[in-house]
Amino acid sequence: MSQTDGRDYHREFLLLAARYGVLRPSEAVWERYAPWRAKQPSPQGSLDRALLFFATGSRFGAWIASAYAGRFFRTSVLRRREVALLAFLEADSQAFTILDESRDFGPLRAWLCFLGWGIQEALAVGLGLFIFGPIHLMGARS
Amino acid sequence: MTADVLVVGSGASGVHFARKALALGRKVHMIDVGVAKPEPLLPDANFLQLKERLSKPHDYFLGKKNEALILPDNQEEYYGFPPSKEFVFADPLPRPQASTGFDPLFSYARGGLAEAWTGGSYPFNDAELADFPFAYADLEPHYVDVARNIGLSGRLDDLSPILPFHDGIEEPVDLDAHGSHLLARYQAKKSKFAQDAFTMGRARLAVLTQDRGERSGCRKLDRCLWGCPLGALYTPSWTLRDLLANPNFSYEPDLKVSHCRVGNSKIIGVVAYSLKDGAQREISCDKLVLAAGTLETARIVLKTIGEDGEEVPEFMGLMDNRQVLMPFVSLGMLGKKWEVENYQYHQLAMGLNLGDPMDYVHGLVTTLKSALIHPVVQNLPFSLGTSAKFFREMHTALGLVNINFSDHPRKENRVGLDTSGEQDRLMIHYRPDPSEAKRVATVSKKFRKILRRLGCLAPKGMSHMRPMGASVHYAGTLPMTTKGGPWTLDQNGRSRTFENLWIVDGSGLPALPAKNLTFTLMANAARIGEVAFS
Repeated sequence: MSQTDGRDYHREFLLLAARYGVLRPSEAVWERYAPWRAKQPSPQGSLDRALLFFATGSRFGAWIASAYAGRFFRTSVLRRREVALLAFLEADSQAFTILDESRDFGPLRAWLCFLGWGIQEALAVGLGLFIFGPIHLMGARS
Repeated sequence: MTADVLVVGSGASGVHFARKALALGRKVHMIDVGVAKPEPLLPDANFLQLKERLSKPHDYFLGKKNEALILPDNQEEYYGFPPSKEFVFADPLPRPQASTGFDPLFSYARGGLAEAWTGGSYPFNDAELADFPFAYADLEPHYVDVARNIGLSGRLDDLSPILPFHDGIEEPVDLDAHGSHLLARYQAKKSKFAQDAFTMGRARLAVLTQDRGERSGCRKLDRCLWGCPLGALYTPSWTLRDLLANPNFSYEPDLKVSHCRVGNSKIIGVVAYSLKDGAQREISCDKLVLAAGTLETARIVLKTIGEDGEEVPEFMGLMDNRQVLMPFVSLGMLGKKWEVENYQYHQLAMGLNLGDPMDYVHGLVTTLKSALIHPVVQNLPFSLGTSAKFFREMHTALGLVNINFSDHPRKENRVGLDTSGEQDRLMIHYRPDPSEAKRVATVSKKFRKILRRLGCLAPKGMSHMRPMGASVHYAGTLPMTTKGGPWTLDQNGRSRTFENLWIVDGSGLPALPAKNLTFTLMANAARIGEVAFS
């Protein structure tokens, strides 16, 4: 892995980890992610590339690209990297608490949370449709 | 020691056959590949403490090479196979095989495939034994004997008419909050469920609730999937340990049997390869018992026939239980805190009668507590960040029904041996019954309706039909029957071709009910041990 690749991977790593609420992932997770990531194929299609470009550009872009990939392109390179990172985080001695421990806050609050997340998700998918929809359609036609 | 009987394989059937033969004063020599189980790590730690305290948790949970990492495009299961159980499917001397419509799994572990057993112990009833050459009454004493030996827990409840309740069953492990919630919902609407011919009750599990010898009672560490570190969940290697203390028993691992030597319609010995140096060994025997597992036993017998100069036949009637995994959310459990102190595997069992006893469908409820979450989360149609948040708050409310379907022998499902190449190749062909798709769809619909009535939501798109071969309940290639016929066994598992050969594994089952067959394999092997060697 070159120095430039390493910097890019690390930026991607931090942005994707932040999507899980893990703002400071441990060195152990990075040591697991970096070699795995280095062996992964590059994105092939234009949609795959566009999703990754947005996801690795900013947290806002990652939010939209991830929602679009989750709804319409679950085998995308972006989704693969997100799944792998989730696996590395859930097996980590520090990050697992964020993913594994639930709170006892009652059904009403749970439903309110779900509603809030649902609205956020719908908003992200809507924006994603606006940005990625045309690329997706063009890719499908070609 | 000169043995009275040579046993091939240390799995569920082999060890319980040997136990019975030893109890009758026979001398037993067992040969086996015998891949050993690794020592458990941090045996007192629960699932979360394990993540916290292991020096390399990633290696433990995902494997050194991320073997248990499940990515979106590899069509895998809802929970990956734990690296700590890789030994169960490790093959130190792989041999070629080809299959169509069947994903075969082989085990060469010390203790066999049941080292990865989930402990479900469900006796077959008379209706399910209709095609067997013996009845429940013949098997019951052996169910009791095995139950007492392995430590079986369960309760007399609504499932008992389907799952005969015999002696030797101890009190079950405590239900967790989710299990209690589901059972209470069932009790409250029992009459409505009865109209759908649906019953629910406590699972019968090979799990100790009290300490016994070297094995501890269940401490609710939530590590069942990862391999019980305390031995509360039974595996055959525990019986093998007991056998090793018997002076009339000898065990020789690191040997993979290729075929048998035949003389005057009798087996005079077996040919095996040493895993240490690859050298060929011949071991003579007076009586041979094959307990190598249905497919491996088929390979050994087919090769024996070929080596004996006969045309190699195909064994018809291969069976396996089709399984459908149906995840669900218990709405009444939403917003409740997830507690790790639980028994993880099936705490509840479900039964659905569809008229014909062989159409009975068996469901096992797992509350998905300590599997890795990434294989499940990626199936939600949201961004992964949101999916992970949803999952975390729904963790307590999540469950999975493992729906098992029966199978019956059909000629098109067969096992053969291709001897034309440099190395013999096991050939496995399986084609589902043409009515299967409709049956699966009907039953899945009924289960979704039942789950709704239990207050659960089971999204249709999340159900997953496992490939044939995945349940590893293989049976039927050399069936026991009173009717006779080539490549069949008599009612006591004795070969009709080689008079001093007994086959005690799944090969001999002439039908495959929906229930997990392991408990019946153990009881049947003990029965053959008693009937044939007393």
